[in-house]
Amino acid sequence: MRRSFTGARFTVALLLVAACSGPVDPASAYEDEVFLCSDETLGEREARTAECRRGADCRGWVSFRGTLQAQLVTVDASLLAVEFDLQNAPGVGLARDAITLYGDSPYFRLRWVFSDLPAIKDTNGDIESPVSIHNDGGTVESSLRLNGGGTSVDLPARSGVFRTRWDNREQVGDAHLDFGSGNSIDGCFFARVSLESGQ
Amino acid sequence: MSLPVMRLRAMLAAVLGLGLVAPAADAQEKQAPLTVDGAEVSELEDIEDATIEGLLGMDLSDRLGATKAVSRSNEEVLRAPASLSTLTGDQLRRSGALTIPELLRRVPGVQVFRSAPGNFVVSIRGAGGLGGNNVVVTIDGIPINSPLDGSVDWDAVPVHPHDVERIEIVRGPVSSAYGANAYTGVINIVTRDALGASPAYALRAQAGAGGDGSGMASGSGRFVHIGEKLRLKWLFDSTYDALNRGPEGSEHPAHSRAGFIGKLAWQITDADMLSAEVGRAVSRRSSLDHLVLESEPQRRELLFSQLKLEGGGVGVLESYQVWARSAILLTRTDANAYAGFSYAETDSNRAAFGGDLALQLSPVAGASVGVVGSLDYVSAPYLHPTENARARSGYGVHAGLNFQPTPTIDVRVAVRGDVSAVTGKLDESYRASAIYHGESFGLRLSGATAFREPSYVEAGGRFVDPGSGLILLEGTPSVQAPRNSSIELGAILAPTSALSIQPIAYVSRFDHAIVEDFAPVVRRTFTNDSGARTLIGAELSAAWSLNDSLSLHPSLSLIKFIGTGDNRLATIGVPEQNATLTAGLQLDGSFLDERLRYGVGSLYVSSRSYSVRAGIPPRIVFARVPQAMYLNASAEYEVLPGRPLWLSVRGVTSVPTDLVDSPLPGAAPLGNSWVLGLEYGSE
Repeated sequence: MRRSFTGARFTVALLLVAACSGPVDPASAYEDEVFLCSDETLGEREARTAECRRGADCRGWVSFRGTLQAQLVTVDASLLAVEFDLQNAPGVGLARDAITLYGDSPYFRLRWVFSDLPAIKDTNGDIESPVSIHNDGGTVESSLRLNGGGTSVDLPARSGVFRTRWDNREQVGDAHLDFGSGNSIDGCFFARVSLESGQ
Repeated sequence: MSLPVMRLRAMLAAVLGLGLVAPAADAQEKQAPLTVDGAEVSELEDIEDATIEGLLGMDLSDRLGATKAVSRSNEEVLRAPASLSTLTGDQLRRSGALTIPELLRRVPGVQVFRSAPGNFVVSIRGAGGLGGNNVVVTIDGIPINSPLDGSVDWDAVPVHPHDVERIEIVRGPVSSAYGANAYTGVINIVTRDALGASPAYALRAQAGAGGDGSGMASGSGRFVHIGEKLRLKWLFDSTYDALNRGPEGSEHPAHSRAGFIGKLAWQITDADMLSAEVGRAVSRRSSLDHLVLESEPQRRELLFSQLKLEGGGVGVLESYQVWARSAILLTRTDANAYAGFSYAETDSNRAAFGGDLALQLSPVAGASVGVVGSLDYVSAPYLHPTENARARSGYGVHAGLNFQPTPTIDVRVAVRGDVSAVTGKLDESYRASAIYHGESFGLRLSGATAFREPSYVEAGGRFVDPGSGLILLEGTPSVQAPRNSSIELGAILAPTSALSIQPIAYVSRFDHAIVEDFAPVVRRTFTNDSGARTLIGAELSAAWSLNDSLSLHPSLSLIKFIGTGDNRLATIGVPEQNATLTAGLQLDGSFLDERLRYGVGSLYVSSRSYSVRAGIPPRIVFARVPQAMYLNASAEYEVLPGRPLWLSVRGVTSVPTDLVDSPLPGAAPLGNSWVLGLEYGSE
């Protein structure tokens, strides 16, 4: 740790006058994130998915873009964990009731929950119809928890649209969610089974 | 110069200087005036032929002398456009204070926090902040503020208080003269030259012990040689201080420091001088500050230097100076000792160059102009990767006019523009003042604006949690410079030759305060508080000479916030919507034909409360500092008559003794600091 005093460093700095930088203008870390849910990033999205399938430990990815706490936010994160809650539904049998995604953005940890999913029996390749969020008269609940720096905030969705598909032990989905107070996001995810629990 | 005469001169300095204002120069004609940073050093070569009655009969303006501290050009203290307090070397010795910040605590309008041995935050007029970056601090005119964030490492002042000639404290916004960060004031530490025979020298040792077995020791000295053409000065200071480190188990590391200042000046002609000055300090102390709530040891190195050519007195050219300066601050920390953040591996460098001209356009009008350019190079692991380890340039221009419509009225205006190396934005600052003065009084009305440059941390910082990899705090390049606008009414009254009083009242408004916006989890950053803070204040200092060997120095200051902006909780380091009252009394005297000289004093500080966001990740701390008394005393005894060997005891006790006067969590108590000293040397 004890480096000797190096006046030479300063001399080098002086020599950099010709290459003097402009004023400080750092970019937000959000600008380095890729919104994977648009048509323009289809190739990137497919590449991420393919790469994840090659890794035994990969649980998937999540991405969203929107406004949270009055700031423009773009997130492109590998999933740290995924939880599927299963329930026995009459006439259907064991079906997924909730999906919980865990990931990191540059500034916060996130937990994105979709619960009270329609009791549709898992069928590879099926695409579920768009469903509304509870408060909008639909059936699905969704909430986003952001955690960082020792504090957290919960954002329950007030309205929105959620679509999802189960295919070969992989869950994909996309959503538009409005949390109220100017908070809203568009997002999508790709998740592989890491833990299943339920009755 | 005999010792009694020196004491007489010092007493006059204290008395005629209005309590805390002392003459920086005198009206006596000098054959070869000593200068420090262009300001004449107090020396009365003919004082041995003078009488106290004759000196007391001098005009008030002559008594107060001249200074460069306010406008950076030589001017009479009586006509200076801002409040100036000058602590003389004699006051330093008699104060009992072992460090310069402890001494500054006694100046009306100055607030001092001590959080650990060697760790101080000094602020002026209630708005310093825990960053301590609202004040420009210079040593012999060389700024030592950190290029990283404008803060001041008081531990890196490599000069013993007894080797200080004087400390000039300019209170109020003075960016029109000093540029960025002269937001609430300027503190100029002038190191001591020879006062008598040359060469002059001093060697001293001090030691003290605490009740818990801890101790402190220091050694320091001074050598000054003044030749016909060359002048040489060398000061050194080393200290080890383990006193008052806090409760066992959570104590701060002991503080140690070693440093020196060297100066060589060449009198080229009668009017022109070339000087080179360099200073260096290496210290080891606690890391505790408002972002790093750690008590782990931190190693710091400060190097400052200046090469200056100055002169003048040709035609309308009253004076000129051309200079190049540098300030380098390196911080190193044992990374293994940290659980969180540190300022480890931080290099912050600033080189600056510039020139100033002062013109006497007519007998009643003068002007000054100047330019300054600077180059920064900052490297720190907590800066944004794209902004780290880059060289950046800034520049500024300033101009001033002074006019005397009548012999008793002075009107002064000054304007300055600075383009920040950090933000690239132009910030203007202004000052206007009108002074009416007579033989025994001066009245001043002044208005000024100043700004603080956003720091590299505030504009381009990126603090990443080493555990999670999450960004916990990030700079905002669009943040505006905080501004201070102030109107001040001051007076200097000398109703008798033995009494002087300096009352001051002011209103200050602070806009665009930079606050940490920790509310959004999605990105914690810095932002400007949309509201303004307003405070009113009053300061009073006085000096009363009871007789030739006894003088009294009462002081009083009051700060009352009348508005605290929109974001109260984000306010850092200022008392929250309350008033702060400080009152001090100092008695200086001597016995035994000056062989025993002493000073005793007390300072009362009212209780203060704070709302502080501190640490990364941040937490809100509500701190209440109780009212306290600081009791100080010093005594020096000349052991052998005619031999320059002095035995001394000095120190400060806070009551309560477990007082923690910093709002920072983990700050150490002040306790007792008393030392015995031995000094051998000439004046």
